[in-house]
Amino acid sequence: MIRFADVSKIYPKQGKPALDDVSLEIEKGEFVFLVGASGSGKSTFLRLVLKEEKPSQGHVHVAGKDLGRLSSWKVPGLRRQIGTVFQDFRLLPNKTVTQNVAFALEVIGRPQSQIRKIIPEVLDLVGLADKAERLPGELSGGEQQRVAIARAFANRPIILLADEPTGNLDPTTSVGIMKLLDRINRTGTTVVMATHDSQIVDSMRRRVVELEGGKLIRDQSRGVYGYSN
Amino acid sequence: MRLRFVFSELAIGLRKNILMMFSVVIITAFSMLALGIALLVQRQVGHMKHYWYNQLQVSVYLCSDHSTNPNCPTAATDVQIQQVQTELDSLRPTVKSIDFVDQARAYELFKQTFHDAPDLVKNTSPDALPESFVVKLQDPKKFDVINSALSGKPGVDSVQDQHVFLNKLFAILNQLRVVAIVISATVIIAAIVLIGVAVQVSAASRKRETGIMRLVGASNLYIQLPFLLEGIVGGLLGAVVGFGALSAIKVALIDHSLRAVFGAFGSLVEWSDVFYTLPFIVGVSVLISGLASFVTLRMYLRD
Repeated sequence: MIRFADVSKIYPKQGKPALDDVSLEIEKGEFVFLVGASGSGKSTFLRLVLKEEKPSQGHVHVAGKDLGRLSSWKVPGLRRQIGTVFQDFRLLPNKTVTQNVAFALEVIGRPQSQIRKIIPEVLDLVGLADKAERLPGELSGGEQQRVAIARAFANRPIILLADEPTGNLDPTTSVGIMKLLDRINRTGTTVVMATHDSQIVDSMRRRVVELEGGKLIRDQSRGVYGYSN
Repeated sequence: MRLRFVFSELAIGLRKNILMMFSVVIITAFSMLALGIALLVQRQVGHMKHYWYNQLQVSVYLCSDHSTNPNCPTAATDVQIQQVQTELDSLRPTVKSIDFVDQARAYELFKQTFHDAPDLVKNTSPDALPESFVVKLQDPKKFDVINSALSGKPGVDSVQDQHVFLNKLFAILNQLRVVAIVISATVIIAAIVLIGVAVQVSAASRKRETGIMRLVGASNLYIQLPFLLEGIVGGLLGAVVGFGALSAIKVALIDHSLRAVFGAFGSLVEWSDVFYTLPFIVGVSVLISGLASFVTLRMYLRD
């Protein structure tokens, strides 16, 4: 589903590479934690999957397609298959929960008839059916992240990328979010989550890929956050 | 492509950006007005051109009771008129034809020429108009021949070739047209820049929305279209206002003031001429606003 082949990324203004000769393969339906200190290359990794950046060297393959060969007018199509969730939620403050999720569907041209059906389903999935008409400002952090997840999942993407989704949340709320991501993973969606949160990683015992200074230093199938003995 | 979505985003953008839109409309209107004036002047010159063909024509005005020329103590007598006729005959073949215009005919011609200025016609009686010989020349450059033969002859008030006057008139009109074009081009450039800035400001103020749209996989066209339309709406409104101003000028200036004075030299621009400018005004404004918006958005909202 996601394959990195000898990928390096050097940003022009920085000396050190953000990613240094990373090779990695993620199968369909996997749940992968991407761990590492700040600046270790986690966000760069995710941006490469979305083709927000191009690798300086190597190839990135998503869903069987070599992103290097993907023409720029096809990139929106790629992104429709990938849902993203961020630490800062990235909701539109003046739109309700329903409107926020609908927005993502409207801009890709889904007809209103479909949108009207999808939204209640997906709000139900994330547990916000009763808060459909609230504004983001009226919601807690955890609830806002659920809206973001609903938005990311509404189009039934094949991949869900999460960049520090629990970064702004307390431990209890984080657990709820992780349960949701797990549920989504069980529907067959490949989940890649970049995180600092050692507790979450340790409690879920999934594949752990560790980056340090842009290099891939660990790839464990049922890993914990720190080195295991 | 869900048009409803595009139009709702367009409406939001217009509302948020109303001040910038206002300035875009004003500047576009001004440049379109200048363009319209340039086009109208061009049409006016076209209308007057048929008088140009009368350059072959020289008028020998005979003394009348109202002549101020010292050569004209009295109105031309029949004898004097006959002498002028003889002189003109002798100048054939340089002179191609001779046509005597008596006061009755002069009055008819006067009424025809100034049919748009009824007050003028009312205040002019037939005997205020001089009689004349209208002489068609083989070669318009031979005006001097007629002039030297007949100026100062008893009974002759003046020998006139409208050539010179028309030259001056065309020169003035041409200058006016050039000035209008220069003004128009300058303001069009200003309008293009302003539209680019307005579209940029609009896109910048919606950065959150456009960011999410890109992330979620909306096509570039979908993202840019509402802003592009904002620019074009501004341009179109400017065209409408500019055309309105042009029409107002036609009514206020041309119909009321100029017609009485210049009506003699061919018809002044009519409504058909004003409407002739409309496709140009609309076309140019849509073109410049569309291009300015499109180029700006490509540079600014680049993937």
